[in-house]
Amino acid sequence: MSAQTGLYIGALLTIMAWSFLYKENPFFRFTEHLYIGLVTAYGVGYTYHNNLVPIVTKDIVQKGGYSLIIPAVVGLLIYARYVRGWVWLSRIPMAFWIGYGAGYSLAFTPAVFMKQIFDSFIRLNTINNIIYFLVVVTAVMFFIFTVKKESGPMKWGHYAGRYGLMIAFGSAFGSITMAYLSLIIGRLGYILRDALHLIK
Amino acid sequence: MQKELPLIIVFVSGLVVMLAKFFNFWNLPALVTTLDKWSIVMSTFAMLMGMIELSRLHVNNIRRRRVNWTYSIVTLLAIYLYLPFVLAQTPDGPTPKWMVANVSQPIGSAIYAILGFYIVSAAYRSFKARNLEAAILMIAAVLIMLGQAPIGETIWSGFPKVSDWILTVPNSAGMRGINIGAYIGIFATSIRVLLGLERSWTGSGS
Repeated sequence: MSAQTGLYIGALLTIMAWSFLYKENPFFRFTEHLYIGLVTAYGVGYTYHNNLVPIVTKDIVQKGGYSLIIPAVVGLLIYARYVRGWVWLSRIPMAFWIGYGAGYSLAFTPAVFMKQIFDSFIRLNTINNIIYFLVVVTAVMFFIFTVKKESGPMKWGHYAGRYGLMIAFGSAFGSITMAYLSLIIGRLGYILRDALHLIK
Repeated sequence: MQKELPLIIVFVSGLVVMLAKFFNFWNLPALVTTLDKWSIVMSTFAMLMGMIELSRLHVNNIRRRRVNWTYSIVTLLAIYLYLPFVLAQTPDGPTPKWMVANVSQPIGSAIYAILGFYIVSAAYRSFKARNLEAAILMIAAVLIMLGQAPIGETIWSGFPKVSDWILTVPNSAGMRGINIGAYIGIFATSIRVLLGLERSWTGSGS
């Protein structure tokens, strides 16, 4: 199929997906279900070619890493959930991932976490640095839920933290809106410029 | 045994990673590299899980004639007609490449862009300065948008500078506060998971 035909199909599918803005309709549902199916198939194919084949052919067969057969078998245990009476075996690979993930975050996150804390204690020699420090401290105070905040510094820190967080959320909202607008403009460019040649 | 074994595996695998990070004996750091590889191998061999579950869901939709079951046929056809091409040709083959460029990517971008319309719509509906917090949120968002859009600089050349200042000082500081809070949450949850206090992942409740 020619490149132009592909662009027509892409533009048509984009319009079908955007038809959801009017209301939920069969065109949107079709594109949504088509997308899910295609992405799933692509994901399986991608994992097969980029992970499974190299592990089996290179790591296990060529390099002789036969110990990798152990995690391969453990990974296959996840399918035990389809065998009545053996469902509990499917929790073993899950347990490894969860334990490994939890241990990893406890062991390796502090390096990033502590650096963020250390870097927050900046020299209070400019207005910007003072504002920065105060916003960080008060935002953290806002997230302390184990101490009563009805009076004293905790109360005022909590209030100030809320305003600091509102600025952060507002600017995040503004940035995201701009990013999405760029995406919408990009899609409109795809339809009007690339596919239909209505604009240059 | 059926309940305890997964919890023991959680504890041991987590403990090994932590010991390897903080101590340097019994060649533990090398063990983490091995576990890392094991984790990838295990995920790879579990790759069909998502496809099987999705297929089961849609096959059941069709069998039981649930609402909109006809669209389940579309999903199943898309999976099982497209998969042989990706497997036979590799993801960089001509058919997968064409499908990604002209079907998957346009639909994905379009659906993702729909959120943009909803964000603008939500902004229109929610940007009412009902109280001080809402006013601050609205002003920050408007200033950021004016600073990043060309029209903002046309109205007043100072908007980009104000926008930059908001992003680098209060926004950055607020996000750091949020991150610190989130990290503490991650630590607490990780400890609960390792100690077996958080068991929702087993499907048996906590």
